[in-house]
Amino acid sequence: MKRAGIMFLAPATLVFTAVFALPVALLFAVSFWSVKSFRLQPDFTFTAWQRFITQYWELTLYTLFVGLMAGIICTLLGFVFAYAARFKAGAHGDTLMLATLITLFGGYLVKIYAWKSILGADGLLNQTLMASGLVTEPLTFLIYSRGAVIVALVHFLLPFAILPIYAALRNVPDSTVEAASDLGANAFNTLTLVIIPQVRQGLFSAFAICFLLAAGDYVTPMLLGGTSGVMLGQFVLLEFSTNFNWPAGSALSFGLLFACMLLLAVLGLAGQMIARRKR
Amino acid sequence: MGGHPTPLLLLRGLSKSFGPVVAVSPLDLEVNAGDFCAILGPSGCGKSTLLRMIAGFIEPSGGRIEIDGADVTKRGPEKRPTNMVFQSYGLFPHLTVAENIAFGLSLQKRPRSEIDDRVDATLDLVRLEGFGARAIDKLSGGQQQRVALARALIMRPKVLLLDEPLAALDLKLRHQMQEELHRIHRDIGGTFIFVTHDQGEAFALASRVVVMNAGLIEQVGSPENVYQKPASLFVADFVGETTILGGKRRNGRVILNAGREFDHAGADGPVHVVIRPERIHVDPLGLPTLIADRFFLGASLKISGKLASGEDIIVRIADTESADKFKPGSTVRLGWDPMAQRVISGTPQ
Repeated sequence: MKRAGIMFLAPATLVFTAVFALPVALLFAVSFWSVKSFRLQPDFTFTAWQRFITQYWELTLYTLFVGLMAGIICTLLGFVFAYAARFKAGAHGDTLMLATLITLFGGYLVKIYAWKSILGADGLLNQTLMASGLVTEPLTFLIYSRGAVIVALVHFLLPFAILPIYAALRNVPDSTVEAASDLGANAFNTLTLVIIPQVRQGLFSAFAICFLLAAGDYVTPMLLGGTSGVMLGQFVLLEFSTNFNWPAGSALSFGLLFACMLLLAVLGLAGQMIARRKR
Repeated sequence: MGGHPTPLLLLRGLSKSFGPVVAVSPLDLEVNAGDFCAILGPSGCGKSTLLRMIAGFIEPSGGRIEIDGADVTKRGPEKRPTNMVFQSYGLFPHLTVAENIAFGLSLQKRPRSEIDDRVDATLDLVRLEGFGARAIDKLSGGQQQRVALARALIMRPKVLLLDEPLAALDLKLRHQMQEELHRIHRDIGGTFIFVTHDQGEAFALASRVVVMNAGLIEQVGSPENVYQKPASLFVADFVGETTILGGKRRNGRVILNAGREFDHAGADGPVHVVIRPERIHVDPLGLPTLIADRFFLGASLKISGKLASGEDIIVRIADTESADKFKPGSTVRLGWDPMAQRVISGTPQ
């Protein structure tokens, strides 16, 4: 039995090791290498890491902040949507989920350009505001800002939050919700004491997915962020392509990865402690 | 308490339709304080809908629900003096046994010491002493059932509602829990209403049985009453094994197709006679019966036979030694005391 189990695991493990684990390990090793006249040389130097810590810490924090915002907003909105689909939509819940999935087919760049045409200086929003006489000049802070990046990221990532939360809510038995109200719980008590504790893991995965995807993004800030909405991912791209500085790009990307993992670990532990304290 | 016991639970014209489907036709029911009442019926008869209307989970289409003199028809489940034990238990998987049981009292913001005392007392009542700190998924089905019961009982509901409470348990556990429920009802003297499709369970537990069929109440009475004097052919057939013989009545005399006659007042027309299997015995003057099969049931012997009219007859005798008298294929004369028969007029639906 045990041997058969290992045999079933073998193909996937092999593929995973060959196409993911090995390249990642190699890339990590590259962060300690050096570059001489555009040539990568095996080495053991902390130059790239030093640069990451001294020059990019601010941008890393800011990138984490954008990821955090996108993750939190997506999780909140996703919960509201999934909750309505699970508890209020009756038999239409699954249809709503299908609609959610379909929005994922829309493509990522299309959404960004859509927001460009909404938030731009002569975009939909500004035209409406000017036509209504609320403003006389187009609002320029709408686009090419942190806010624009977060809005577009939330729009793109929302389905990734809705799906795991909906799956978790589907596993909440109706009888626990009914039992809560039978025992005197109002809607708020039922939500906070019975439903949310049962979907904690779903909420956390939703947040983690959105947070990681947002923090690692470089296309949205490139097209919508302008100078104030820059994110670390753009510099990873820059180092790898234009500058051909692989050690720097590698140190930046692994630095961001470690920072993200640290943040998720801290949040996960904090969540567990809060849940335990409530008992 | 006055001389006239007012019913604790009063249903007047209570009904429920889901679109064009009538789940419960307008019905009246009274349950007195201290009653252990079973709502018995086949699946889809509306018994669960009725229970859920009493609990407040389903809004009635019409009629009124009163508990202890107060109209609760418009109140949600959280504002009713009822508590429910769910068929699937509905225990909170993220809380311990004690936290599950304390849930309702914690919401009422009772002092910690009172909650702890009552949780301990309730754990004792359902014989789960020392299980307070356990996680729900570490319990067996029977133990989960007890937690669900404790969680409802700790609220001291005026009416405790149980939805097929023992359906998920295996036979032995079910019998154990039946005894437990009986003991708990005796110990705390509450008013229990439970829904079941198992007539054995209804008879074993209830002091009053409400038989439902197709959204209507067919009969209300003590278990003995329902068993011995079924009010309709449905009740006769649904509640226990029974022999039903067809016939007709003319001028106060009933003539059975099987070949028996007796006086019985009533309107002319088709009638049915219902006889319980343990009331039928060998009788030299009885109806000739071709024995079709016999089943040894441990404490008794069940014999099925065919009468000359082609109708089936079922006999149950306690004397298992006399099995030889009922060889399949042989003919035996069977009869019964006229007092044991029940005549039901009209054609069955």
